[in-house]
Amino acid sequence: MDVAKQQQETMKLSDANAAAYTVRPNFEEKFRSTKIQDILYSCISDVLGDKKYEQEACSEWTKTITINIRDRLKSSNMKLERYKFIVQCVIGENKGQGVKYGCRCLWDSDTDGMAEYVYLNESLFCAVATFGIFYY
Amino acid sequence: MDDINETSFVVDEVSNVIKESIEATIGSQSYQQAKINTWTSNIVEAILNSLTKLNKPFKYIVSCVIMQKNGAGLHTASSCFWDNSTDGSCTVRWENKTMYCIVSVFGLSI
Repeated sequence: MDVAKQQQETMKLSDANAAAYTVRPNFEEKFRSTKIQDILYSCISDVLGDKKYEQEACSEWTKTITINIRDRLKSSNMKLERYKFIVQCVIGENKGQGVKYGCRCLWDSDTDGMAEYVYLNESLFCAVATFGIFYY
Repeated sequence: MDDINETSFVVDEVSNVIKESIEATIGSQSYQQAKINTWTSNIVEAILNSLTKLNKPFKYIVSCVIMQKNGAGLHTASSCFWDNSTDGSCTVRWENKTMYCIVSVFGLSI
């Protein structure tokens, strides 16, 4: 009888602990590319708007864009507390040259994701890629 | 002391891996629009394969920008929200007479 009671106690404890730590995000807590793209678009248009390419200003713009996006992701209401973020921004002058931007990731495709946005105007192009990595 | 090597991002090691992959793929080539897709894919895949062989408990993100040289300017920046003690990044800038290549590798510990 004692053994049975002890077993019941242990089951109760482990159930309580199981609810506390999740190793997979629920659907609402997942990194969803389309939602993140809206954030990317608004941060880029706030900083770049209709600007022309300027060498000195561009380095400031890249830093501001990446920092703004990272801060908005951290403080968003999308329940992304378990995620680590990497935001990369490339701004270049549009002079008719060829550019190629590619990436590969070794990650857990169930939990991790990427969102990208490319902004183009007559004098510059801006490509932003944001990666969200779930922390187990 | 071994722990530090095993569970944190070692920049020098990764930087060598990147340089070898770039040299092997586009070391002696000139910019060609038709081949650039293959080049970026090859560089990035080769780096990812070499990184996996290091057998470390990391998730990796490798990105590569190749741009033709024609006098235009290019700026890149990245901002990360992670654990400074275990995660890290490495960016390598490479150029030859006809093109620029910038490769960034981000490693996040599991």
